[in-house]
Amino acid sequence: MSMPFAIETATSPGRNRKPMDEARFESFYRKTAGALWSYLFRLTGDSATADDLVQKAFFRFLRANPPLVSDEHMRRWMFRTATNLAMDHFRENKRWKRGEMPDAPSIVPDRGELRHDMMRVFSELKPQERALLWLAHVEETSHDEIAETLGLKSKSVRVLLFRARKKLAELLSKKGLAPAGAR
Amino acid sequence: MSDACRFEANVIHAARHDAWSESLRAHLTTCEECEVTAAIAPWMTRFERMPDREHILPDPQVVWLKAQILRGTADALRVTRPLNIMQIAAYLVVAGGWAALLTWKWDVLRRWLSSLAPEQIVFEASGGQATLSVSFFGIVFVLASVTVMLALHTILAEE
Repeated sequence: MSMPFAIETATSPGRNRKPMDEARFESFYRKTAGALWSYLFRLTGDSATADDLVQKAFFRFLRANPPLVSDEHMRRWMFRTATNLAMDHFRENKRWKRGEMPDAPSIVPDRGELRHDMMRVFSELKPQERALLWLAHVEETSHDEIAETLGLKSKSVRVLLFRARKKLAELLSKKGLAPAGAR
Repeated sequence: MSDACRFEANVIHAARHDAWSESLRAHLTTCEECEVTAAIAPWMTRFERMPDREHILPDPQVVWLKAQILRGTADALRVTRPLNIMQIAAYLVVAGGWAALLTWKWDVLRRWLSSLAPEQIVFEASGGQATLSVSFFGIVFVLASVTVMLALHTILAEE
């Protein structure tokens, strides 16, 4: 007996929804995976971990079968799931790597010295601060959407984002990396 | 709703594309939030554009297939979970049965075992009593059968 080649989940939330077909998944993956990988790489500082978390996020996506409202909605779902996975990863690292700095990405100096410096500066922020800055500045996500992604209150996002920006600005000026601003 | 400065998005956009208007520049002098946003935005843009895509992401078809396999494994685990629970419960019931039987009939059993000694055989032959009932052997038989069935089930299930 042949099975339809589509994800049909047995979990209750998406049980009665039409499953995503492979073509739509492929198109969504191509649009989202790169941005998601960049986000996770900046968050964790490790390309292998980012690879792993991207795949896990997509597996969860296919298993959960979220409502296929729009690509934008699904993209937000992906970023929320990826953030949760990254935070779980940090928690596990905290447990297993006692004595090490668990929040800091394990960055290995490579051929790009500037890249290494940038990653090191970013790694001095807390994971939540990294996520806030990336979502606000790169994904250009609104405060309400950031709140939804990171599981925060909308009002808290404003304060936390301000603190994260100040901290990054201080780090940059301390290291002499502050770029010329608008003024 | 969040009370973020309404110019925040404009400031980020202007910094990303280096397209500052005079009014936006003027706004920076009056808004601390936007000032710090503008201060870090160019660095964030450089950080975003940092070349990091030398490695290739897995093909979507591979991810799709892996998801199918994982789904099959998860389904199998979900289906077999009640069976595993039943199996563990059966082990506990059988172990409990043996323990209860031995506790209940311990004195009788000890006497019966000592009756197997040669001097006791002589004593019993001269009119001594038989101490174990037929029901006891019946229970032993049932428990032994269930134990063997469980052991066979476990071995066959693993194979």
